[in-house]
Amino acid sequence: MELTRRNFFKFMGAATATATALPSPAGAWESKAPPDPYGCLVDITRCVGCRYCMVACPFEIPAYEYDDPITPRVMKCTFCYDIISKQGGVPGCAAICPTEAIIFGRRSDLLTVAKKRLRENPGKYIDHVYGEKETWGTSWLYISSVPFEQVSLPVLNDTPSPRLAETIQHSLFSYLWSPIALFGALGAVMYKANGGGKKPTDRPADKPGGEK
Amino acid sequence: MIYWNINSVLFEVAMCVMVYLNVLYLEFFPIVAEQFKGRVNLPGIFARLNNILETILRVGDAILDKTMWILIILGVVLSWMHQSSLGSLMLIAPTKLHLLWYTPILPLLFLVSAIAVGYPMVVFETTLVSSSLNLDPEMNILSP
Repeated sequence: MELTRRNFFKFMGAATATATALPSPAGAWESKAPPDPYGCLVDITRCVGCRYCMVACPFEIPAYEYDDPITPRVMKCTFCYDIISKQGGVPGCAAICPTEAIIFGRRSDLLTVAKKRLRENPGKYIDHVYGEKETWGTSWLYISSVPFEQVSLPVLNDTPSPRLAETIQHSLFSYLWSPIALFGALGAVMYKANGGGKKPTDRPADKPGGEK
Repeated sequence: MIYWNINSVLFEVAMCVMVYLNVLYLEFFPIVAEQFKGRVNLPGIFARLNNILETILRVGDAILDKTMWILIILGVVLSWMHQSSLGSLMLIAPTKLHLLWYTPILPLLFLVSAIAVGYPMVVFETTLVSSSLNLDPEMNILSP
């Protein structure tokens, strides 16, 4: 019973902008309301439909409109952006929840509430606020009485998941130093292999079609 | 409008492939020039394009004859870049990748396997071309 409700909210989850703003090649993901992020929105006018965000998200939140063959869009919970961007706005899920299983607020306030619940109900919950540190902190925070893996929340590192790829990219390609170095090295090899000075295209062996 | 997220691995792959495709077109240009230079003879109303096309072929061929070495090296560099980046492409999803492959040297593994496949591909392509066009096998390339 509890599982299904949590599973439902898994689909509405919103990861923190810091973790997910990275993947799209067109920069379609925008974080909203810093410094206390309420999740992120997809700017559909920038989206090129690469679906790299779907690969990147460990919670499998962004989904694609596969039923629309011509103009499918990437879809995701907007965290009721229009409502919460107004003063005192509460997203639909939190507003409708009859038992305050879902509550809405600033992330720092919610962390306090979650830790208070853990402290005041010893033994009821697993002593962990899921999302506090996972992938650098998510916008949805969970406390649970069953192990988080059972409710499809994967075990995650405290570093944002695109960090490794980003580090590799930045160290390899900052100022394009490695391609330029490779270009230079291959140029030197080519220059040497042709006895210096002589253009490689002068050699008949390089001409395709191969006259013998 | 330009929306470039240079932090994205997929952006780099896309850029490399796009530039590489153009490099390939340019590398193929001399073959087109060799075939049609001095022989452009379009029928009907297209005949007025003859001189322009002739000039493009002649000038392009002359420029590429001097600069082909740049394109040849560029082709290798760009291939290295996007073939290795295809490896880092998957590193963004540690929970979906098998632990065996979640390693910082995955780009290197991709690059090595791409190089390993590259040589057989050249042999295959050369054999295909030389047998279908009745040319002598290019043993001078294959032999050490």
